[in-house]
Amino acid sequence: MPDTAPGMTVPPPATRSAALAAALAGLDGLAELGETIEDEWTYVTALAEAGRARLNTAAGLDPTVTLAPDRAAAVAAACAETARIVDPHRAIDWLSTFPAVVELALATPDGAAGPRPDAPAHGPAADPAAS
Amino acid sequence: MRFQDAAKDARAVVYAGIQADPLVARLAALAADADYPQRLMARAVMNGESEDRVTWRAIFPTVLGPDAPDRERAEAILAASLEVAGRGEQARAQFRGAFVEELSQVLVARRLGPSAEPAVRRERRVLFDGVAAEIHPYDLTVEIPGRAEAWDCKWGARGINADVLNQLDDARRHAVDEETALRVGLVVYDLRTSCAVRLAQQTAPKQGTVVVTMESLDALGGRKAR
Repeated sequence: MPDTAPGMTVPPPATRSAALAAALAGLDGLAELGETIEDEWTYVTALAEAGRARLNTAAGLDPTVTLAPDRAAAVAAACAETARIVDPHRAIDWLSTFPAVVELALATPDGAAGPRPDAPAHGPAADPAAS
Repeated sequence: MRFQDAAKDARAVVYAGIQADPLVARLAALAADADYPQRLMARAVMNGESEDRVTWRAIFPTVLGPDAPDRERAEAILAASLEVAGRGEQARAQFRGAFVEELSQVLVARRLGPSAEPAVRRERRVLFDGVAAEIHPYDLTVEIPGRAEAWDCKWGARGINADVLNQLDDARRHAVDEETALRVGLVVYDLRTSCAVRLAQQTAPKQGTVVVTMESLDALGGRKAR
């Protein structure tokens, strides 16, 4: 039985720390591609920094925790998707989305490291929600 | 303050065809009742390279897996999002923009109730006495005296720029000058973090502008995030 699903180029990470390492590498690849749009360099750099912070938080306090097979496959598949992106504009779009996708994959059933839609933003307050 | 239809140029006529495509309405209806993970999946698919369901089911096991809640809706969102992704780069971008506008209209209309539905309009200008009309119409307006709103809709945080922020703030200030209420805002189908990063780099006025992100879409529709 192969270690990876069809079309997947990243082996599933066994632990949260391995998932974080794979995700950070994927994020860096997107940032590098996005930075080629000179007008967006500042935005891409800041977005990548926010993404790294988000991924580190998502990885949780105990990086040695073993991932469930479907979660490990999810991180690997998301990282593989980043590797398919060759257009720098799309890379910037994915740079925005990718950390949240990994965050969702690393969320535990009890929500310990899960996404919290009502959580405060990383960075400056931006979202006075509609009322 | 008064509202007026925007004159349609050739580009607007073409875009109107995209806006009227049933796929846009179908996807917006599905996303309006979706939860945050399902909406995130839709964004990822419409941004992604892969156009096969197997890949996306692997990436989103908690949304599309056998134990996922409301899996039927998630699968329908996946199918519609893949249809958008399959339209080619230029059309995909137009469909995504039209989708955010349609979704915003559905949610705002839901918040205001059925009786106010005719007052929720698209592609309208907001006019003030003695002030030249803005070049770009607003994507969405609520034309109820005393409760008027003007919204611009963006697929991503990159759509936030000085022109957009200045136009919204100008409208808000002109309304104040006329002693009329006008709530102005941006609906951005992107993550709050990305919008925060983008806004932090803008020097245009933004304090009076509401920014609704993917995480707070339910509030646009008048209910708490799920």
